[in-house]
Amino acid sequence: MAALLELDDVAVHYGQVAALKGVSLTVEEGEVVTLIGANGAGKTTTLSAISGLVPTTRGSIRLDGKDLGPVAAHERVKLGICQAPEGRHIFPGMTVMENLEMGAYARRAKRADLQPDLDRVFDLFPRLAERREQPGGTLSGGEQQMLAIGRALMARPRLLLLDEPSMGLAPKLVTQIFEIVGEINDQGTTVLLVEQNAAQALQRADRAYVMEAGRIVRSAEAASLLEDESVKAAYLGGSVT
Amino acid sequence: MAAVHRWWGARTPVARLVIGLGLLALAALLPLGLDPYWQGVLFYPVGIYVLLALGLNIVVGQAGLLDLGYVAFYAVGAYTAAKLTTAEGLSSWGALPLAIVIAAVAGVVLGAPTLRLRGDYLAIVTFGFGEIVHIVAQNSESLGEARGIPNIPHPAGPFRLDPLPYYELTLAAIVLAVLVIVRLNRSRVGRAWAAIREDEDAAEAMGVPTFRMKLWAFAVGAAIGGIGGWLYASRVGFINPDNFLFFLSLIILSAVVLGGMGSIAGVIAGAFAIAFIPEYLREVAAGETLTRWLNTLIGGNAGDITEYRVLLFGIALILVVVFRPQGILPSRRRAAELGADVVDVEEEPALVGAAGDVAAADLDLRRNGERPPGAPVLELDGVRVAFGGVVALDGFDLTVGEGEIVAVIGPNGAGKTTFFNAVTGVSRPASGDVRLGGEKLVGRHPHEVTAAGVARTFQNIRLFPEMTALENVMVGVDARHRTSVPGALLGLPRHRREEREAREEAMRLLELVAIGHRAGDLARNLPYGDQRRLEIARAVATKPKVLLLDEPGAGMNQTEKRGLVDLIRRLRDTGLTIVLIEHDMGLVMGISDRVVVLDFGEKIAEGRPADVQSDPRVIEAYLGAPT
Repeated sequence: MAALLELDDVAVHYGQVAALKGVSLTVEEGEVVTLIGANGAGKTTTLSAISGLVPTTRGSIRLDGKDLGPVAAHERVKLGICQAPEGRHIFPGMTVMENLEMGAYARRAKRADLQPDLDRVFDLFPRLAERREQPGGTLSGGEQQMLAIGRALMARPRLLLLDEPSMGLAPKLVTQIFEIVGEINDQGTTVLLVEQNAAQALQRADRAYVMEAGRIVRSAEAASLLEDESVKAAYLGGSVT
Repeated sequence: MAAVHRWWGARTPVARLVIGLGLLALAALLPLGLDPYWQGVLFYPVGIYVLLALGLNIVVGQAGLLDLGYVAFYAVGAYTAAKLTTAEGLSSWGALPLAIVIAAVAGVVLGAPTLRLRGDYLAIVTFGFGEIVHIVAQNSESLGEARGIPNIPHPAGPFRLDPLPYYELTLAAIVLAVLVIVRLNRSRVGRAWAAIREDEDAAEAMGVPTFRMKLWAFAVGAAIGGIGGWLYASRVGFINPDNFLFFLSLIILSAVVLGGMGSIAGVIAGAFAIAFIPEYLREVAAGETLTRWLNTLIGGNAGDITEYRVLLFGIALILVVVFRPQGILPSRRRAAELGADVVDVEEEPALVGAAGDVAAADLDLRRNGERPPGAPVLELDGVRVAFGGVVALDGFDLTVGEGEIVAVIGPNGAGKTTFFNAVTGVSRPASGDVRLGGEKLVGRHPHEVTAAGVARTFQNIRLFPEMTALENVMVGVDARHRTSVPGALLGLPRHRREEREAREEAMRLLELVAIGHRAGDLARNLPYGDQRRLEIARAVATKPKVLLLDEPGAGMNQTEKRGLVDLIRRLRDTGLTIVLIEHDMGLVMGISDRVVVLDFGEKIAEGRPADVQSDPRVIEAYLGAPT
């Protein structure tokens, strides 16, 4: 059977600048796979190429063996791909509740059917339940991050693309957010995770790809990278001082 | 067209001057051989449209303010000239300065109450203003109502009915307008306009008095419109309200969009095309064929092509917007947006953690070097901020001493960024006091707070994306300079000195944060980590006493964070006082002299990092049980 997601030699250009120079990777159903690498390596671009937000200039992206090339971004959501973008991108003028309902937009579900999903999001992020009638734009940065993740979950994606979910979150929540990634995965969602917090990401992930300058330079079991000296030196480190 | 840009960019200044003068000579001399009909067309609509498009471009293209009523200023210029010469007995030349000044004043009058509005709202209000001017002209007895004002005298000199002298005069006005625009663009005024267009809040935070600079854009644009009005009235000798319809505002706006917003050459080309092509088609066989063809197509019976002018504009605009949204001759910024002239940055090694080439000690970042270390510099007393019913910050006290590094931590939504907003004038505290070196800050605009000595970065990076790294930092340096429109226009010595200093200092600061090699790249093309560094350099450029960093380490990996810590320490060593919001406890523990913990808008702990880290309340609210 084909892997859930397959990228084959994918290139992306921003104007003249090559952001991805031939990326190939696979994600199997039920896995948590993480992409690590320095800023500017092309991790976010890879996610955006998968969700269809940036056009590819070469290569193919397949979901269940089906080429996504001609499929528009909003159609990919219906196929089960959902991205929680870095930098939040919530709808600032809509309430928390409305933002979450927008997450389920592609499902065409009745409002009543959304209740279990809403309960799940509010269970994961009690802070959002407290603020459900507040406009998204008035939330603090970290709360917007929670909302972006919650909104992505409302789509009940098969493949969840998480871009820096721990960014801007308090330490207590960072620990929680990785637990939540684990829970989401246990409930049957496949996750492709981009994280600067490589140590935590590698602990949660099954497999990992290391990116440098628009290319994949390594692919391995996540656990083995945790012990790898070169990865440790480049991305894990100890104290920042 | 990108090739044109590259070619032009590769010319030496002397070559550019020669080419420019050559084109000018061509524009001045070529019409001498034409018959008077075409000379007339070159005056109006061509010359006048070009002049008006240049004026509108200052407002729309450079400052990013959508103005749908620009023709009002053209009308004010024309009516001023007409009224002063016919009723007040002024000479035509004598009326010119007044037409310019009164149009500029009209710009300020429109701007003052409306320029706090943004986007759509501003567009609607300017549309209303254009209509008001038209209706006043239509109904005011002293302005001749719908009949208008006849018998406007020609200016003294060679100006009679012959169109050529008016054309040459218009050309002179265009050259003057271009010189004004170029001068302003290369000054802190032009940078301020660009910054406002890119991100108005960030511009304000970098010390740009956004309201005043927008008023200047309106005034300068309106003055150019006023010259156009005077020229038109002087040549035609008779004006009425129908010369100044809303439709003309739209045509001029179309010319700006078509040619390339923000680009002088583009706007001239756009206005020329919109004015000249319909006139040209009217006179040639192809135009007749096109007219017949269109008549058949839509079942019309137009006599000549100018009756289809609007239809053709519409089609041309749609085609341009779909296929070439940046315009015929785009500005550098718009070209970059479309990826045309982007520098290839892909193989640059990431310079994470590398120390800059400039020792921080070489830069005197200190503004108040005489203050003893530890003396209170930033003080907050019982600050309370509420949004509607939600209290974001309550009774917050904090004293930060000279040369300290203070970290503010706390759960998401605890009020940390609100604290920064209260200090910088973005949010006004409902009660309480904020003082900088004893000076009260509450009630000041953000740009005044920046001028007083507080600079900040933003949680979600707010650079001016379509400006270069160097220009971004120069906007920061500009906060300490004083050149305004007159100084920049006249090229006063102080302006030239400030401009040189700004460039040199901005370059030094880029090197300090180790991105000197990126000076010429657009901010949006920098990798994330370099964008964070650039934002710090831009803030430091305002020479603050206190630097507020909002999650400087967010989205950085450990290696990059080590570089950041090194940078923050070096900044402190040059005399800066630093307050930072950060979630990475390793980073916080490593560099802070003191840590303040917020929860639900209240301070729950304060002290040395190690003490705070072991405080049970902090662990409960923020850190979570150790893993």
